[in-house]
Amino acid sequence: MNNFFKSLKKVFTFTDDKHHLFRYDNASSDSSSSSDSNNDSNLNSNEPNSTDSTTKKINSSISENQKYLEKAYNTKLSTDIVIRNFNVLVQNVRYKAFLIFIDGMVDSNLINDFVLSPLMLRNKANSYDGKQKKLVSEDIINNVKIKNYENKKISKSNLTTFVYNNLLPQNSVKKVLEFSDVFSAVNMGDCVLFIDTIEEAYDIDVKGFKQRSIEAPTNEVVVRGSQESFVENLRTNTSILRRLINNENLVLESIKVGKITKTNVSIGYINGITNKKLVAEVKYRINNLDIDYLISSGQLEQLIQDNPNSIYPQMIATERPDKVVNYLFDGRVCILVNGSPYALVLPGVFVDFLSSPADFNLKYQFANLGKIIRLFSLLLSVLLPGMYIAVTNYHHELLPTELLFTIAASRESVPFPIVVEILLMEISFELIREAGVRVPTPLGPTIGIVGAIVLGDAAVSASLVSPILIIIVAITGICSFAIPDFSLNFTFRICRFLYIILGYLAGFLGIAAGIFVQMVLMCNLKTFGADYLDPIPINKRSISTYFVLPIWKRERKSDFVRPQKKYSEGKISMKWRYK
Amino acid sequence: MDSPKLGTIETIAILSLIMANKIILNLPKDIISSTGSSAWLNTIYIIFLALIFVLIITKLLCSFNGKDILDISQYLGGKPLQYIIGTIHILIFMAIILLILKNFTTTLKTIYFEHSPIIFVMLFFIVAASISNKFGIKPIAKVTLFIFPLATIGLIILLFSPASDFQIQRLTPIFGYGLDKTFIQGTMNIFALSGLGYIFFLPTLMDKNTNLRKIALFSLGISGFFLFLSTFCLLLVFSFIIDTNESMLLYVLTMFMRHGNLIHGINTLFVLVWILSIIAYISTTFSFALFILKKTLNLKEIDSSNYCICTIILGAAVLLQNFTDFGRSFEYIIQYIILAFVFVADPLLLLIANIKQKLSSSRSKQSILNRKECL
Repeated sequence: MNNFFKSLKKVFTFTDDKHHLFRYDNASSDSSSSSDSNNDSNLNSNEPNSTDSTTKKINSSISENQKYLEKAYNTKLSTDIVIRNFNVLVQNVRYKAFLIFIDGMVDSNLINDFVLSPLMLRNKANSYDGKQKKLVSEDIINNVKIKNYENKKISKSNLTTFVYNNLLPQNSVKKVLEFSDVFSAVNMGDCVLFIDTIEEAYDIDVKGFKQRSIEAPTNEVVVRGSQESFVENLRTNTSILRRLINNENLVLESIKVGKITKTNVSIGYINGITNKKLVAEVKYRINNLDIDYLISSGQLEQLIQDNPNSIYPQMIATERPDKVVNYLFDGRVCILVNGSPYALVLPGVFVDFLSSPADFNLKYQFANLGKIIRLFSLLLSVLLPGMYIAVTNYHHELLPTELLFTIAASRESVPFPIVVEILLMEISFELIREAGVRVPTPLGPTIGIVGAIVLGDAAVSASLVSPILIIIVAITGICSFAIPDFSLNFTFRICRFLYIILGYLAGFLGIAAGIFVQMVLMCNLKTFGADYLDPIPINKRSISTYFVLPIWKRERKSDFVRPQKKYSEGKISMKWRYK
Repeated sequence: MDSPKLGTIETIAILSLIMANKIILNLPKDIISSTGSSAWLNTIYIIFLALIFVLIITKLLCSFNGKDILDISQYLGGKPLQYIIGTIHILIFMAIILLILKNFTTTLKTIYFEHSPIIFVMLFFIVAASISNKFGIKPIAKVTLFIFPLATIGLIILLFSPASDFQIQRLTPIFGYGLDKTFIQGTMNIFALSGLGYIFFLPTLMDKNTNLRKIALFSLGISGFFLFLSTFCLLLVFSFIIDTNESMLLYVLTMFMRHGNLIHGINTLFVLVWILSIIAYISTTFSFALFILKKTLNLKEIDSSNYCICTIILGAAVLLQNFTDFGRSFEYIIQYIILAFVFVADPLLLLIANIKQKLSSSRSKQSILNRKECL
């Protein structure tokens, strides 16, 4: 018996032998293995408490620095890492130097014309050794030109400053002391200049990588409104915000997140409007992330939200700069992540996810009509299938007799109970939706339409489902597309399945119990100190309201963010009417 | 940033919904059957009595600014008295939940779940209440704030929908079964407003307990208005001598609604709102019971107690359902116990505590200021 258990255990446990199949064998590897191990050591050395190489200071010996960088970057394998050795002429003395950059991320012309040329070619600046008199200014007195020369001799020892002040005609040059900064700069598309005998390097901004230009938003389309969207480049995104806000009080603080990626994250807020505690809380959470990498704002959202297990979105993710700007003026905080074309706005309360970007630009009557339709479609998308089951199983009296007969007649040849029918169709619909996202763009809509029509028609012809059910599922699907926020759409798709089960189990009783619990969960939810269902019960005159107020009545900023400045309009905003 | 305590509007919504639920739970029918055509007069009378009650207890509570009946009982008789008062109130609240569950689920079972066991129907209420109570009273109060307008609007529509069937003659004789039944024996109908008993626990649950009197009066106003309206309308529609076997008179009233050909059986929608309303009521009462338990026994967390009490209530409700005759007697006994505690024992306790406080020589100026601020 014991033997049997031992053999069983052997079958079900992953033994070392099995692991060995997938493990990279250092001993059998070729020369590349050494570089791999180097890589590993580099990554491991990023551990915050270790005396790692990234915090290593730059050496005065140029060869040491070069060796170190070559090893770190695996230059034998990574062919895109370029190290350009040359001699630099400083005060008539030649020093060894090298530039390190990543091919494809820099602008070659900038390097050639404004880095290498001034450093390598003999010119007045680099050949000046302090013995010559330096012309400071010229005066003309009584038509006589008088030249003023500087008598002070420049110290040879101050090589660093001399190079910085005279030999690098660039607008953005930073002195760096540690290799961590060197890696960060090179990885971001800068080139770094090392000169022999200097324990510093120069981080020169020569970025020139290809990036997506600003395009129209694809997921938050509006008829009337800005046609700009965020892109992957952080600086482009911050520049859009600067341009739109056009005020010196906009603060865009930078924080690096990720021990390996050191992703640039920008926290934006307006000084004098946003609550300082809210900003501090955001910074505190981001600064206290112990992660290796951060690639997108979606990852960051999950890492800093109040209730990570809640299915409700707690931050607004938007690709529209104008939407972000509106919220910044409301006293919110925005977060931009380098490499992600979506900004996060926080705190995001429930009503924000029902708002369309067009609401800010449209007349309040139009915006309200849209909002009511969205609210109605949200309710339908969540409750309609569950209600259908509840009504057909438990509450027949709610339907007109003729309709009841029609439903009964249409279900005559269907062999399954309604719940199976509806689950079958809902799952098929979800499949079509998911497939529509995966297939290539030109085919996507076709797959959706053809899939829905063919499948629906075939299912009815095969008597798998009733025609009325197809209508119910189609209405539910259309309504779910009317929900403006992608995350909220997901939330209510999950809830829909729960309501189907509850409706099947106990009709309206089950649905009522579900509604109650869901509302309690929503009422309990807090996001960055704000109640999720704010501004309930009082519809304060701000932009976050269940019903859009006329623009001249949106006097207040949202109370739940406790802004420093409470009003965004005067008591009478349209003063021209009363003059 | 937000305090977990109840705001003024939330408290009003909770108190009003608790008392409005008595209408759903057939209290007007009981009033009508005990007083006859003078039910509307009796309603005005009990509202007046409740008003006096509210004025007295809020004045008595104000002397102990921010303290509830448990704190006051501790002040009066130390920890032992607090344990006794706490235990009795927990049992009362559990009994209230038990009765609501029994009555409402019986009606639901009769209407919709003929073939399902009663425990299945009860389970939905208990599970919803149990889950909600994991998060405390604040979210429940907020949800109540959403449900309360629905319930009240539904009531108004329902009560005025059979307006064409109103017959003013049904209000006669004005004094129904007599003055004695209306004004002396009818005093017991104040049970319809026994929800005011929750006020004793509100000071420690509320954000600003200085508004206690306003909240109590406002809630009494709303619930009194609906109680009067429902009694009055029901009296105009049904003859008071007809005692229907239906356990919910309001459900019968929905049958009188005329609503064209588009929607049939609109009563189902009312039932949906009532279910929501009753779940809110049960959850609120449940959270009060848990609050007392936590405070009395000085518990750190109440999750396990939550599940325990839920199981006990569910078991007791099923048992009660099986013993119909005992169930009726139990209902009457509980009704009298609630009346005795809410309208006699608790105010008496408050009165004695006030006297003790007055007698104590060290009555500081601060307590006088507190009282002034409170009133």
